[in-house]
Amino acid sequence: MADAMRGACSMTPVVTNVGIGNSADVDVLHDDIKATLGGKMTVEATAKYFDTVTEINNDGPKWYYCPDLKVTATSTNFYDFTGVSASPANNNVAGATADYYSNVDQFTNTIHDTSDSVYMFYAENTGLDDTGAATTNILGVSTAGGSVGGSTIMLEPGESVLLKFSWRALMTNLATMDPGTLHLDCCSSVGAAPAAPDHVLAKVVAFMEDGYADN
Amino acid sequence: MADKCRGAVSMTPVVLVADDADGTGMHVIHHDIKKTLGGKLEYAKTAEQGDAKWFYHPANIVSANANLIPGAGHDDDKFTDDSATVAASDDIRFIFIKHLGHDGADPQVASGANDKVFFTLDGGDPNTQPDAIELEAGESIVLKFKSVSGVAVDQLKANKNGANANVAVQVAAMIDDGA
Repeated sequence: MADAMRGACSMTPVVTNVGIGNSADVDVLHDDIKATLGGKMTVEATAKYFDTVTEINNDGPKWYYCPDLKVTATSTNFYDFTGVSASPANNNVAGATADYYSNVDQFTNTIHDTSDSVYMFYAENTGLDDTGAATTNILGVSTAGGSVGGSTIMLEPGESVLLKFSWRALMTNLATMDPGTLHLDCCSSVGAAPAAPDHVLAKVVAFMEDGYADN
Repeated sequence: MADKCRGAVSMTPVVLVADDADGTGMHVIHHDIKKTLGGKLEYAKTAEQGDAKWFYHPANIVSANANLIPGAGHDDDKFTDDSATVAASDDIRFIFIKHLGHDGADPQVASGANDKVFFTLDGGDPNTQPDAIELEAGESIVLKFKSVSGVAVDQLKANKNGANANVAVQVAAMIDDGA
Protein backbone atom coordinates (compact mmCIF):
# COMPACT_ATOMS: atom_id res chain seq x y z
CA MET A 1 0.00 0.00 0.00
CA ALA A 2 1.20 3.47 -0.81
CA ASP A 3 0.03 6.91 -1.88
CA ALA A 4 -1.30 6.71 -5.41
CA MET A 5 -2.85 8.86 -8.10
CA ARG A 6 -5.43 6.60 -9.71
CA GLY A 7 -6.97 7.78 -12.95
CA ALA A 8 -9.34 6.52 -15.60
CA CYS A 9 -10.11 7.66 -19.15
CA SER A 10 -12.83 6.65 -21.55
CA MET A 11 -14.05 7.66 -25.01
CA THR A 12 -17.33 7.01 -26.78
CA PRO A 13 -17.27 7.40 -30.59
CA VAL A 14 -20.62 8.85 -31.62
CA VAL A 15 -21.74 9.10 -35.24
CA THR A 16 -24.88 10.93 -36.30
CA ASN A 17 -27.03 9.13 -38.83
CA VAL A 18 -28.87 11.89 -40.65
CA GLY A 19 -32.62 11.48 -40.76
CA ILE A 20 -34.48 11.09 -44.03
CA GLY A 21 -37.87 12.59 -44.67
CA ASN A 22 -39.77 12.57 -41.39
CA SER A 23 -37.05 10.66 -39.53
CA ALA A 24 -35.02 12.54 -36.94
CA ASP A 25 -31.24 12.36 -36.77
CA VAL A 26 -30.02 9.47 -34.61
CA ASP A 27 -26.73 9.18 -32.72
CA VAL A 28 -25.15 5.70 -32.87
CA LEU A 29 -21.80 4.14 -32.02
CA HIS A 30 -19.17 4.16 -34.76
CA ASP A 31 -19.69 0.85 -36.57
CA ASP A 32 -16.00 -0.10 -36.67
CA ILE A 33 -15.25 0.71 -33.03
CA LYS A 34 -18.52 -0.68 -31.65
CA ALA A 35 -17.86 0.20 -28.00
CA THR A 36 -16.87 2.80 -25.46
CA LEU A 37 -13.11 2.48 -25.11
CA GLY A 38 -11.21 3.09 -21.89
CA GLY A 39 -8.54 2.22 -19.39
CA LYS A 40 -6.79 3.26 -16.20
CA MET A 41 -3.78 5.50 -15.53
CA THR A 42 -1.87 5.15 -12.26
CA VAL A 43 1.28 6.25 -10.45
CA GLU A 44 2.10 4.91 -6.97
CA ALA A 45 4.61 5.99 -4.35
CA THR A 46 6.39 2.66 -4.59
CA ALA A 47 9.79 1.49 -5.81
CA LYS A 48 8.21 0.78 -9.18
CA TYR A 49 8.02 4.51 -9.83
CA PHE A 50 10.22 6.13 -7.18
CA ASP A 51 13.39 4.05 -7.34
CA THR A 52 15.79 3.54 -4.46
CA VAL A 53 18.21 6.20 -5.63
CA THR A 54 15.44 8.73 -5.80
CA GLU A 55 14.07 7.79 -2.41
CA ILE A 56 17.43 8.11 -0.69
CA ASN A 57 18.82 11.19 -2.34
CA ASN A 58 15.71 13.24 -2.67
CA ASP A 59 12.62 14.03 -0.68
CA GLY A 60 10.39 11.51 -2.36
CA PRO A 61 6.82 11.76 -3.65
CA LYS A 62 4.70 14.74 -2.74
CA TRP A 63 1.26 16.06 -3.66
CA TYR A 64 0.45 19.42 -5.23
CA TYR A 65 -3.12 20.71 -5.21
CA CYS A 66 -4.77 24.01 -5.98
CA PRO A 67 -8.54 24.18 -6.53
CA ASP A 68 -8.59 27.59 -8.20
CA LEU A 69 -5.45 28.63 -10.05
CA LYS A 70 -6.16 31.92 -11.82
CA VAL A 71 -4.79 31.16 -15.29
CA THR A 72 -4.29 34.15 -17.60
CA ALA A 73 -3.27 34.49 -21.26
CA THR A 74 0.43 34.57 -20.42
CA SER A 75 1.84 31.04 -20.70
CA THR A 76 3.44 30.20 -17.36
CA ASN A 77 4.50 27.26 -15.18
CA PHE A 78 1.35 25.91 -13.54
CA TYR A 79 2.62 26.61 -10.02
CA ASP A 80 3.52 30.24 -10.78
CA PHE A 81 -0.11 31.25 -11.17
CA THR A 82 -1.90 32.57 -8.10
CA GLY A 83 -4.57 30.74 -6.18
CA VAL A 84 -7.82 32.63 -5.63
CA SER A 85 -8.84 31.09 -2.34
CA ALA A 86 -6.95 30.20 0.81
CA SER A 87 -7.94 26.58 0.40
CA PRO A 88 -6.34 24.18 1.02
CA ALA A 89 -5.09 26.08 4.03
CA ASN A 90 -1.70 24.41 4.24
CA ASN A 91 -0.43 25.27 0.78
CA ASN A 92 -2.30 28.18 -0.66
CA VAL A 93 -2.54 31.82 0.32
CA ALA A 94 -5.34 33.71 -1.36
CA GLY A 95 -3.91 35.85 -4.14
CA ALA A 96 -0.39 34.48 -3.75
CA THR A 97 1.59 32.17 -5.99
CA ALA A 98 0.39 28.64 -5.29
CA ASP A 99 3.76 26.91 -5.40
CA TYR A 100 3.73 24.72 -2.27
CA TYR A 101 3.34 20.99 -1.87
CA SER A 102 0.21 20.04 0.05
CA ASN A 103 1.47 17.19 2.19
CA VAL A 104 4.22 18.98 4.13
CA ASP A 105 4.29 21.63 6.81
CA GLN A 106 2.92 24.96 5.77
CA PHE A 107 5.09 26.88 3.32
CA THR A 108 8.26 24.84 3.80
CA ASN A 109 8.54 23.02 0.50
CA THR A 110 8.24 24.98 -2.69
CA ILE A 111 8.33 23.56 -6.21
CA HIS A 112 11.46 24.12 -8.28
CA ASP A 113 11.64 24.57 -12.05
CA THR A 114 14.19 21.90 -12.94
CA SER A 115 15.17 19.94 -9.84
CA ASP A 116 11.69 18.55 -9.15
CA SER A 117 9.73 16.24 -11.43
CA VAL A 118 6.06 15.84 -12.34
CA TYR A 119 5.08 12.15 -12.44
CA MET A 120 1.35 12.56 -13.01
CA PHE A 121 -0.75 15.65 -13.67
CA TYR A 122 -4.47 16.44 -13.60
CA ALA A 123 -5.92 19.71 -14.87
CA GLU A 124 -9.55 20.79 -15.05
CA ASN A 125 -11.18 23.86 -16.55
CA THR A 126 -13.71 24.89 -13.87
CA GLY A 127 -15.56 27.17 -16.29
CA LEU A 128 -15.50 29.93 -13.69
CA ASP A 129 -13.74 33.26 -13.23
CA ASP A 130 -12.44 34.68 -9.95
CA THR A 131 -15.87 36.12 -9.09
CA GLY A 132 -17.56 32.76 -9.47
CA ALA A 133 -19.23 33.74 -12.74
CA ALA A 134 -19.25 31.37 -15.70
CA THR A 135 -16.76 31.90 -18.51
CA THR A 136 -16.30 30.16 -21.85
CA ASN A 137 -12.54 30.68 -21.88
CA ILE A 138 -10.40 27.67 -22.74
CA LEU A 139 -7.61 26.28 -20.57
CA GLY A 140 -4.47 25.35 -22.52
CA VAL A 141 -2.01 22.73 -21.23
CA SER A 142 1.45 22.51 -22.81
CA THR A 143 4.21 20.02 -22.04
CA ALA A 144 6.72 21.95 -24.14
CA GLY A 145 7.26 25.05 -21.97
CA GLY A 146 7.56 28.56 -23.29
CA SER A 147 4.75 29.91 -25.37
CA VAL A 148 1.88 27.50 -25.66
CA GLY A 149 1.94 26.40 -29.30
CA GLY A 150 0.43 23.94 -31.71
CA SER A 151 0.81 20.96 -29.41
CA THR A 152 -1.33 22.57 -26.72
CA ILE A 153 -4.01 20.36 -25.17
CA MET A 154 -7.27 22.31 -25.07
CA LEU A 155 -9.81 22.09 -22.24
CA GLU A 156 -13.20 23.74 -22.53
CA PRO A 157 -15.32 24.49 -19.44
CA GLY A 158 -15.97 21.33 -17.46
CA GLU A 159 -13.27 19.36 -19.26
CA SER A 160 -10.19 17.73 -17.75
CA VAL A 161 -7.07 15.81 -18.73
CA LEU A 162 -4.67 13.32 -17.13
CA LEU A 163 -1.00 13.08 -18.15
CA LYS A 164 1.65 10.64 -16.91
CA PHE A 165 5.43 11.05 -17.15
CA SER A 166 6.82 8.80 -14.44
CA TRP A 167 8.75 6.11 -16.30
CA ARG A 168 11.00 8.53 -18.11
CA ALA A 169 12.74 8.92 -14.75
CA LEU A 170 13.61 5.26 -14.41
CA MET A 171 14.83 4.99 -18.00
CA THR A 172 17.34 7.79 -17.65
CA ASN A 173 17.72 7.98 -13.87
CA LEU A 174 17.29 11.70 -14.24
CA ALA A 175 14.56 14.11 -13.33
CA THR A 176 12.00 13.93 -16.09
CA MET A 177 9.10 16.27 -16.68
CA ASP A 178 10.30 19.53 -15.19
CA PRO A 179 7.48 21.48 -13.59
CA GLY A 180 9.08 24.51 -15.22
CA THR A 181 8.09 23.26 -18.67
CA LEU A 182 4.53 22.21 -17.82
CA HIS A 183 2.67 25.36 -18.77
CA LEU A 184 -0.92 26.58 -18.63
CA ASP A 185 -2.55 29.45 -20.42
CA CYS A 186 -6.01 30.83 -21.18
CA CYS A 187 -7.38 31.54 -24.64
CA SER A 188 -10.51 31.74 -26.73
CA SER A 189 -11.69 29.04 -29.09
CA VAL A 190 -8.87 29.13 -31.64
CA GLY A 191 -5.95 30.21 -29.51
CA ALA A 192 -6.67 33.91 -29.63
CA ALA A 193 -6.75 36.18 -26.61
CA PRO A 194 -9.29 35.12 -23.98
CA ALA A 195 -12.64 36.79 -23.76
CA ALA A 196 -13.35 39.08 -20.83
CA PRO A 197 -12.59 38.30 -18.09
CA ASP A 198 -9.04 37.57 -19.23
CA HIS A 199 -8.65 34.38 -17.19
CA VAL A 200 -10.20 31.10 -16.13
CA LEU A 201 -9.88 29.14 -12.88
CA ALA A 202 -8.16 25.76 -13.13
CA LYS A 203 -8.20 22.89 -10.67
CA VAL A 204 -4.80 21.21 -10.66
CA VAL A 205 -3.45 18.12 -8.89
CA ALA A 206 0.07 16.79 -9.40
CA PHE A 207 1.93 13.80 -7.98
CA MET A 208 5.56 14.84 -7.93
CA GLU A 209 9.07 13.97 -6.91
CA ASP A 210 10.59 16.64 -4.69
CA GLY A 211 14.23 16.52 -5.69
CA TYR A 212 15.42 19.55 -3.83
CA ALA A 213 16.24 19.40 -0.10
CA ASP A 214 14.76 22.70 0.96
CA ASN A 215 12.93 21.64 4.07
CA MET B 1 -26.50 16.51 -33.73
CA ALA B 2 -23.13 15.71 -35.22
CA ASP B 3 -20.36 13.15 -34.99
CA LYS B 4 -18.46 13.55 -31.76
CA CYS B 5 -15.82 11.98 -29.53
CA ARG B 6 -17.24 11.85 -26.01
CA GLY B 7 -14.38 11.45 -23.59
CA ALA B 8 -14.35 11.30 -19.80
CA VAL B 9 -11.49 11.60 -17.34
CA SER B 10 -11.38 10.94 -13.60
CA MET B 11 -8.69 10.89 -10.94
CA THR B 12 -8.71 9.66 -7.35
CA PRO B 13 -5.96 10.96 -5.02
CA VAL B 14 -5.19 8.12 -2.61
CA VAL B 15 -3.03 8.63 0.49
CA LEU B 16 -1.68 5.82 2.66
CA VAL B 17 -2.30 6.21 6.38
CA ALA B 18 0.48 4.05 7.81
CA ASP B 19 -0.24 1.28 10.27
CA ASP B 20 0.15 2.09 13.98
CA ALA B 21 0.85 -0.59 16.57
CA ASP B 22 -1.96 -3.10 16.05
CA GLY B 23 -3.75 -0.94 13.52
CA THR B 24 -3.67 -1.88 9.87
CA GLY B 25 -2.62 0.74 7.36
CA MET B 26 -5.35 2.04 5.13
CA HIS B 27 -5.90 4.12 2.03
CA VAL B 28 -7.90 7.33 2.33
CA ILE B 29 -8.78 10.20 0.01
CA HIS B 30 -6.33 13.13 0.14
CA HIS B 31 -7.78 15.36 2.86
CA ASP B 32 -7.44 18.63 0.92
CA ILE B 33 -8.97 17.29 -2.28
CA LYS B 34 -11.65 15.22 -0.49
CA LYS B 35 -13.06 13.45 -3.54
CA THR B 36 -12.51 11.92 -6.95
CA LEU B 37 -12.08 14.67 -9.52
CA GLY B 38 -13.13 14.40 -13.12
CA GLY B 39 -14.76 15.85 -16.15
CA LYS B 40 -15.60 15.31 -19.76
CA LEU B 41 -13.34 15.84 -22.77
CA GLU B 42 -15.30 16.12 -25.99
CA TYR B 43 -14.82 17.09 -29.62
CA ALA B 44 -17.77 17.64 -31.94
CA LYS B 45 -17.43 17.68 -35.71
CA THR B 46 -19.43 20.89 -35.76
CA ALA B 47 -16.37 22.67 -34.33
CA GLU B 48 -14.26 21.62 -37.29
CA GLN B 49 -12.89 24.27 -39.63
CA GLY B 50 -12.33 21.75 -42.45
CA ASP B 51 -13.41 18.15 -42.88
CA ALA B 52 -13.07 16.07 -39.72
CA LYS B 53 -13.03 12.29 -40.23
CA TRP B 54 -12.69 9.21 -38.07
CA PHE B 55 -9.55 7.10 -37.86
CA TYR B 56 -9.50 3.79 -35.95
CA HIS B 57 -6.89 1.11 -35.50
CA PRO B 58 -7.76 -1.71 -33.06
CA ALA B 59 -4.15 -2.85 -32.57
CA ASN B 60 -1.55 -0.53 -34.05
CA ILE B 61 2.03 -1.73 -33.52
CA VAL B 62 4.61 0.51 -31.84
CA SER B 63 8.16 -0.75 -32.28
CA ALA B 64 10.41 2.26 -32.95
CA ASN B 65 10.19 6.01 -33.23
CA ALA B 66 7.47 6.69 -35.83
CA ASN B 67 4.16 8.44 -36.36
CA LEU B 68 1.56 6.89 -34.06
CA ILE B 69 -1.02 7.11 -36.82
CA PRO B 70 0.25 5.29 -39.90
CA GLY B 71 0.20 7.32 -43.08
CA ALA B 72 0.20 6.50 -46.76
CA GLY B 73 1.86 3.22 -47.64
CA HIS B 74 0.69 1.31 -44.59
CA ASP B 75 -2.01 -1.33 -44.55
CA ASP B 76 -4.23 0.75 -42.30
CA ASP B 77 -3.75 4.23 -43.63
CA LYS B 78 -7.31 5.28 -44.45
CA PHE B 79 -10.06 7.05 -42.61
CA THR B 80 -12.83 4.68 -41.53
CA ASP B 81 -15.13 5.85 -44.29
CA ASP B 82 -12.46 4.82 -46.84
CA SER B 83 -12.75 8.26 -48.39
CA ALA B 84 -9.08 9.15 -48.27
CA THR B 85 -5.66 8.25 -46.94
CA VAL B 86 -4.42 9.93 -43.79
CA ALA B 87 -1.74 12.46 -44.73
CA ALA B 88 1.23 13.40 -42.59
CA SER B 89 0.11 17.02 -42.65
CA ASP B 90 -3.46 16.35 -41.50
CA ASP B 91 -4.23 17.78 -38.07
CA ILE B 92 -5.41 15.61 -35.20
CA ARG B 93 -8.31 17.14 -33.29
CA PHE B 94 -9.04 14.44 -30.71
CA ILE B 95 -7.35 11.15 -29.96
CA PHE B 96 -7.82 8.14 -27.70
CA ILE B 97 -4.84 5.82 -27.14
CA LYS B 98 -4.76 2.59 -25.11
CA HIS B 99 -1.78 0.32 -24.36
CA LEU B 100 -3.28 -3.13 -24.98
CA GLY B 101 -0.71 -5.02 -22.94
CA HIS B 102 0.38 -7.40 -25.70
CA ASP B 103 2.63 -7.36 -28.75
CA GLY B 104 -0.08 -7.60 -31.38
CA ALA B 105 0.87 -11.09 -32.52
CA ASP B 106 -1.11 -12.89 -29.84
CA PRO B 107 -3.54 -10.94 -27.63
CA GLN B 108 -3.38 -13.76 -25.10
CA VAL B 109 0.32 -13.20 -24.47
CA ALA B 110 0.87 -10.27 -22.13
CA SER B 111 3.62 -7.81 -22.85
CA GLY B 112 6.54 -7.56 -20.45
CA ALA B 113 6.30 -5.65 -17.20
CA ASN B 114 8.49 -2.86 -18.53
CA ASP B 115 7.00 -2.58 -21.99
CA LYS B 116 5.96 1.05 -21.93
CA VAL B 117 4.69 3.22 -24.74
CA PHE B 118 5.76 6.84 -24.91
CA PHE B 119 4.57 9.58 -27.21
CA THR B 120 5.28 13.22 -27.92
CA LEU B 121 3.16 15.96 -29.46
CA ASP B 122 5.88 18.02 -31.15
CA GLY B 123 7.77 15.56 -33.36
CA GLY B 124 10.54 14.57 -30.96
CA ASP B 125 11.66 10.97 -30.42
CA PRO B 126 9.63 9.92 -27.36
CA ASN B 127 12.51 7.83 -26.01
CA THR B 128 14.71 10.91 -25.71
CA GLN B 129 12.30 13.70 -24.79
CA PRO B 130 11.64 14.54 -21.14
CA ASP B 131 8.09 15.62 -21.87
CA ALA B 132 7.11 12.26 -23.40
CA ILE B 133 3.73 11.05 -22.09
CA GLU B 134 3.69 7.45 -20.88
CA LEU B 135 1.26 4.55 -20.96
CA GLU B 136 1.70 1.21 -19.20
CA ALA B 137 -0.23 -1.93 -20.04
CA GLY B 138 -3.97 -1.38 -19.71
CA GLU B 139 -3.65 2.38 -19.47
CA SER B 140 -5.31 4.90 -21.77
CA ILE B 141 -5.47 8.61 -22.45
CA VAL B 142 -7.74 11.07 -24.23
CA LEU B 143 -6.44 14.37 -25.64
CA LYS B 144 -8.00 17.28 -27.52
CA PHE B 145 -6.06 19.82 -29.55
CA LYS B 146 -6.66 23.14 -31.25
CA SER B 147 -9.23 23.37 -34.05
CA VAL B 148 -6.74 25.42 -36.08
CA SER B 149 -3.00 24.77 -36.39
CA GLY B 150 -3.03 21.86 -33.99
CA VAL B 151 -0.95 18.67 -33.84
CA ALA B 152 -0.18 17.25 -37.29
CA VAL B 153 -0.08 13.49 -37.83
CA ASP B 154 3.70 13.58 -38.28
CA GLN B 155 4.15 15.44 -34.99
CA LEU B 156 2.48 12.78 -32.83
CA LYS B 157 5.34 10.32 -32.45
CA ALA B 158 5.31 7.02 -30.55
CA ASN B 159 8.07 4.76 -29.29
CA LYS B 160 8.42 2.00 -26.68
CA ASN B 161 10.86 0.43 -24.32
CA GLY B 162 11.03 -2.96 -22.69
CA ALA B 163 11.88 -6.50 -23.71
CA ASN B 164 9.31 -7.05 -26.44
CA ALA B 165 10.00 -5.82 -29.95
CA ASN B 166 6.43 -4.63 -30.38
CA VAL B 167 3.63 -3.22 -28.26
CA ALA B 168 0.06 -2.98 -29.56
CA VAL B 169 -1.98 0.16 -28.95
CA GLN B 170 -5.61 0.90 -29.75
CA VAL B 171 -6.09 4.26 -31.46
CA ALA B 172 -9.30 6.16 -32.23
CA ALA B 173 -9.10 9.72 -33.51
CA MET B 174 -10.92 12.56 -35.20
CA ILE B 175 -8.62 14.07 -37.83
CA ASP B 176 -9.02 17.06 -40.13
CA ASP B 177 -8.58 15.67 -43.65
CA GLY B 178 -6.65 18.27 -45.56
CA ALA B 179 -5.76 20.65 -42.73
